[in-house]
Amino acid sequence: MLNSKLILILLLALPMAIATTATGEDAAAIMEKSHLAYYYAADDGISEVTMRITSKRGKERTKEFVMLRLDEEEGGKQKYYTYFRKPSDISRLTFMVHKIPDGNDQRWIYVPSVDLVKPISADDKNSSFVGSHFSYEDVSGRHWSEDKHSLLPDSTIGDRAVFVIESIPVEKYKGFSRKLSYIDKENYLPLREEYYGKKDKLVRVFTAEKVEEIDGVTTMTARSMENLKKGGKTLIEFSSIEYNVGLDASLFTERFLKNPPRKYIK
Amino acid sequence: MNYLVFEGLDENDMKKPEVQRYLEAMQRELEKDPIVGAVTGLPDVVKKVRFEFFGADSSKLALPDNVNEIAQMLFLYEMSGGDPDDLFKFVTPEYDQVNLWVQMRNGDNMAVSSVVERGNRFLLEHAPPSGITARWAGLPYINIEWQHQMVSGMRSSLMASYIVVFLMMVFLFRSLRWGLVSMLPLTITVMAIYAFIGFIGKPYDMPVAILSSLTLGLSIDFAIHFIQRLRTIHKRTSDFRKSFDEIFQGAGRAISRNVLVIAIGFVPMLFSTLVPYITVGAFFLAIMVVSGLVTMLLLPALVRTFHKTLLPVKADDSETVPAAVEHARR
Repeated sequence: MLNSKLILILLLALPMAIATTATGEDAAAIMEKSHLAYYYAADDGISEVTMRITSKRGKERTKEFVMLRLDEEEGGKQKYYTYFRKPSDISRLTFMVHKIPDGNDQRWIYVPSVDLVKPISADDKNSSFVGSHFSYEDVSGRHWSEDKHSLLPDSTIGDRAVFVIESIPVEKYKGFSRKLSYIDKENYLPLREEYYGKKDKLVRVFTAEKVEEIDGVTTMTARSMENLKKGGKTLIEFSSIEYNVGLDASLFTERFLKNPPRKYIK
Repeated sequence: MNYLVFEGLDENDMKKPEVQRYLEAMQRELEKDPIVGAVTGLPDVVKKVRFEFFGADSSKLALPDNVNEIAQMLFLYEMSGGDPDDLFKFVTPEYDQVNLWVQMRNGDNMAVSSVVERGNRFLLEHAPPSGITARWAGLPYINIEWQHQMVSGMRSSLMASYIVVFLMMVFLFRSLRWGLVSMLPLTITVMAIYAFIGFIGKPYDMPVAILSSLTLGLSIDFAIHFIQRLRTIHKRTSDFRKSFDEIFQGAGRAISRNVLVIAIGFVPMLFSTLVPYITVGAFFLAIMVVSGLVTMLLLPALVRTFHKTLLPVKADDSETVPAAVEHARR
C-alpha cells in the first residue's frame, strides 16, 4: 500500500522534474519565437494606426498615423517610418526610427511648422511612445536575450491555451522587475503581459484585444496597455494592413521625412 | 507652492498663441513681487524645446506665433524621451487647463495675499483671452482663504456674543443702566487689547480671535460679581459710602486675588519658544489686569458719580437679584 502510493507520487513528479530541467532553454525559445511572430511578421508592412489614449481623468484623445516597417534581418535591425494625420495641429509631422537591437536606436523627427528635420535623443527606451501608455520598447520590442526566462505552468486566456513565462531582467532595469507573458501556444502572439515593479506590484497590463488573419499572417489588430499605478489606458488599433509590399530601404532616410512617399501615404 | 490655474473651454485651448502670451505676461507680472522667486509654466516648456530644437539658438527662446508650431514643440517634448508626467505637471493631457507654479520665498499669509492680489489685479486690468478663466490653488492659498473665513467668522460671532451678553445683563439686573455699566470692563479690555495689537502691528489672526471671545466671559464675570454684591449690600445699608467700605472688604479682595492668581499663572507661557503660546500668555495677563483694574477702579468711580440714579436710597426700588446671577458670579 505504502509502496504503491510512493510509486504514484514518483510517477506524478517525474514529468514535472523533466519540465523543470528543460525550462531554461524552452522558455527562451518560446520568447524568441513570440518576438519574431509579433514584431517581425512578414518582411515589411504598412498600416493605418489609431491610438486612443485615455487619461486617468477618463478623458480620451486620439492620434492617427500611418506606420511603415521594414525588417532588415529577422530578429535584428528594423526601420520604422511614422506619418501623423491627427490631431490636426501635428499633421504632416513625420518620425523615423532605425532600431538597432544590440546598440542605440536612432530617431529623427520632421517638424512641418518650421520645416526642419532633426535627430532626437533615444537614450530612454522606456519613455512614453507619442504620449501614450506604451513605451518605445513596447512598440519596437525588447530583445529576448535581455531577460532570463522561466516557464510556469500552462494556462488559458479566454479559449486559447497559453504558455506562461516569467522574465527577469539580466541587468537591473527600470521598466520592470518581473514580467509575466501569456503566449498563445498556436501562433506565439503574446495575449497578455503583466509588468511588475517595485515590491512586486503589478504596474502595467498589456492585452491583445483582437487577433486576425491578414494576408496569411496572424496579426494582432488591436492591443491595449493599462497603467495601474498612474491610471490611464491606451488602445492601439491597426487597419488597412498590408504585408510584403516591397518597401525600399531608401524610403527610411531623412529625405523622405520631409517628402512622404505618396505611393504609400495618401 | 501656489498655483494659478487657467481653464479653457475646449481641448487644446492652452496651445493658442494668445493664451501662451497671456500666461507668459502673467508669469512676468507675478515675478515683479519681491517675495516671488520664479513662476514656471507651459510657455517655458515651449520656449525651451524651441531653443534646443534650433541648436541652442537664443533668438528662438521665445513663443512662436502659430498654434501648430506650439503644438509641435510640445509634441516634440513628448517624443524626445522627456517624461510626459513632467509636462503634465503644467498642463492636462487634453491641454484644456494649465498650472502656473508660483514659487515664493516666504509662505506667510500676508505675503501670499499680496501675490494673490497682484495676480487678481492683473486679471482685472488685462482680461484673459476669451473663454479662459483663472483661479488660485495650492496649500498657502487655501491657508489664507481658511484664515480669512475663520477670522471673519470669529469676528461676527464675537459681535453677536457681545450683544447677547449685554441683553442678558439688562435682563438679569432688570436695568438698562446697570446693563451698560456691567459691559464696561469687557468693552474696555477688548478695546485696549485691540488697540495694542493694532499699535504693534500684529495681524488679527486665530489666537487673537479666540482670545477675544474668552475676554467676554472673563471680564463679565468680574462685573457681575461686583455689581451684584454692591446692590445686595446697598439694599441693606442704603448708604453707598457704607456699601463701598463693605464691598472692598469682601468682593473687592476676592476679585483682586482672582486677577493676580490667573495673571501670574499665565506668565510662564511668555517664556515659550512658540509664538502662539506667548500670544495666549500675554493675552490672559492683559485681560486679567485690564478688566480687574476697570472693575476695581472705574466701576466704583462711576457708581460714586451716578449713585443717585444707580443706587437710589429707597430700598423698595431695588429688587432682589435673581438666583441665576447669584449662581453666575461663582
